[in-house]
Amino acid sequence: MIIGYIFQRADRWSTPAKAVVEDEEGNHSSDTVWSECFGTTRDGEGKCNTVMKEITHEFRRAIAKLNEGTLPQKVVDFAYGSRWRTRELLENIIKEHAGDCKELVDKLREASRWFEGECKKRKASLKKVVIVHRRHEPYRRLYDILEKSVRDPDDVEVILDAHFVGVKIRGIVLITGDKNDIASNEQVICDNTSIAEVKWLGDVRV
Amino acid sequence: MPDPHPWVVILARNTRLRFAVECLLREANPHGKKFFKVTHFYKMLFLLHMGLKERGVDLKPPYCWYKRGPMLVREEFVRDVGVPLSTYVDKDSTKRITHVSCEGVSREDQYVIQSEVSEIVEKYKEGNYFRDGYIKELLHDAYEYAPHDFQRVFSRMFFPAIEHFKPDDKQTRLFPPALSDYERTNIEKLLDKLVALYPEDEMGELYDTFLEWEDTFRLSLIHEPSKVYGLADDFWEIFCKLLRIRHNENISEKTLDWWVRSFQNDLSEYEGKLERERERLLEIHIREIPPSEGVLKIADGMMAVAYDLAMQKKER
Repeated sequence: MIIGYIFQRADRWSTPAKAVVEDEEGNHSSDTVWSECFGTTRDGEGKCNTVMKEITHEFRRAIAKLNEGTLPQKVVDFAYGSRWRTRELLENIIKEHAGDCKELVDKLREASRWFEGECKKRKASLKKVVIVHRRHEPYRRLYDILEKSVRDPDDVEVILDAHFVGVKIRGIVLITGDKNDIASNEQVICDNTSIAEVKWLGDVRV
Repeated sequence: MPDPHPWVVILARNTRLRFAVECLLREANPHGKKFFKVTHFYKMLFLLHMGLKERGVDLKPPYCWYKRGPMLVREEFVRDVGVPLSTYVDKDSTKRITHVSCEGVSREDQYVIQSEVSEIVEKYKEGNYFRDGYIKELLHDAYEYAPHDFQRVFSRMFFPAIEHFKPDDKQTRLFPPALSDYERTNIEKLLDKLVALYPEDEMGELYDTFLEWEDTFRLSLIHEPSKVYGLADDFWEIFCKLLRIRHNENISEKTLDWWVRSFQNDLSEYEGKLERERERLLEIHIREIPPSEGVLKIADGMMAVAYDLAMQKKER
């Protein structure tokens, strides 16, 4: 859900994610999920920062090549050869671009700035409205119960993080984009933890 | 030539270098005047070294390429020569040398070194005095040997183009100079040139940081031109910290190892500072310059790619 909020616009979860984050109800997350998304200075940068940087780096390299006089199609060839994540996107942009190279460079540059600026703005907003909790209970017995239904061990840990918050804050609702492993196990989760409800992000009304 | 003190024989290993240094100072600045500064001395010594190399005499000076060109490394100099560099330099100026140590230097080498010294010193003089602004000639000649064109453009063209944004005095800080369209265009052309010349093969680990700096610099040029000099100076410093690791002569393993280790710490610190500055400028940029539909469409595409990439592991 955090990922959907940060990389809004194209994500089909983006509008529900935005609605969940920006509604009046309190938002809670765990330090596990938070550091997975944004990292810690010790362990690394987290998924969101890493992905954002990878994409902006590729765009800047594309801009550098175009500025050096490399033909747009050659830049695309290079992107495919280097297996850039943005290769298909760049190919479409260049196919659709009708103006000169300088115009293309200016557009790519502005788009990259907008993308980066928006991601950073959203991260800053998120920090203001989300309370991050650090769990210090292993909940071994609960883990054994949950792992029988929830396949991914990381998902079990997230559920236990939510349970930890639910012990302190009554009526906690766990909202997840994972329909198969978490949302589908709502009964098991609510029967055995302090979590009041499990909601799939796709069911969130905007 | 007069004989040296006896203890010099024990300590000095690189007697040729010591001889060359003392000859150069005695000839270039016989009265220890302030016009012959440390930077003049370093550049002239470097050019002396390069000239002598062509004549088959290697002074083996311990130097590296750094912010203002080739630079003698103090700690290595005392190890090599047996006396500290402060024997010859004092803060920013050079000292008067009356005594030249020739112990351990063959007569032939003495002759070659002395004649090369005379040639080099004469090159920058008119009559008995150094030409006005001869430091520019010295820098130009020294930079002819720079390993990368990128250095020549950054140090000798780019910095002069943004010189008047250097926050040297209160006046400049209180009333930062305006940027004319002509100046902006010129600076942007130099930025394009720097991007084209960046030595990616040899300095690849800084390439993405360099591109991030370049775009941040462009943002500063639009929104806060008074900050551009500081931005350039900070980047140049970290670039040169890598440069000295890659391009040096006669430096000990111990010093090189220390440069390599300290570079990692310095790079983290620099990247943090650049990121904070960039974030601030991006915020201003997004607020003041709304994107066109075409730009938004591309940014949208970037968001889609980012989401898919981040979701390659399971969603929470």
